[in-house]
Amino acid sequence: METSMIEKLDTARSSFLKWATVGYAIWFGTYIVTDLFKWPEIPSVLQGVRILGWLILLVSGIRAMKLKRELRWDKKMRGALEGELHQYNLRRSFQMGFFVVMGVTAVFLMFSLFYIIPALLVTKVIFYLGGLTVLISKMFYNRD
Amino acid sequence: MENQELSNQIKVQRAMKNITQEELAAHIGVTRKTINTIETGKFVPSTILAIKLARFFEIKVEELFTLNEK
Repeated sequence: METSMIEKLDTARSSFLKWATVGYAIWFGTYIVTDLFKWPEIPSVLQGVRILGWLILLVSGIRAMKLKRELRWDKKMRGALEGELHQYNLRRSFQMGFFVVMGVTAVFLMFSLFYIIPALLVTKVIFYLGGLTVLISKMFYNRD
Repeated sequence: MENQELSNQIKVQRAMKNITQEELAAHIGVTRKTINTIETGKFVPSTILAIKLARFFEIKVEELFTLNEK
């Protein structure tokens, strides 16, 4: 039945989003942790966690791409799933990400007056927090 | 704008027609979440969506949505 199909796909999309957020948080988070502690070699536990995060992100990405491909031929379903509420929540999520990126950049700029911070670490942290904010915001706005 | 609030009669109209949010969403071409957030006042629909909803319930947009002073 078409009705339940839209809801099933919407629920599936919410699920990808949750797992993609978890995967991204874990995977990229391990890079930040490694840089912060300056380990010469990454501990095996952390490597395992990194791989797990990467796998979660990969599977979520594949499922999302499959959904996108399914919707490509169904204009009505695509219109319903990518409707104005979805667009509105997407805009708000990217807005939140923007503010976090600006805020974190400002904090690093202030710190740079007193400390020398590696540029790569700064870039990674800004990228990580910006991306995570967008994902978490979308999850929050998308909730029932 | 800050002193005004949009209320609606979607829940009442749905009850009169005896349909669920999901069924209404399918007729209009949106998700159930969209109907739910409009009904609870968390999301203001576009003019197009408001007209579609009013047409579905066979009433005027002004009867379905009301602008109140806070």
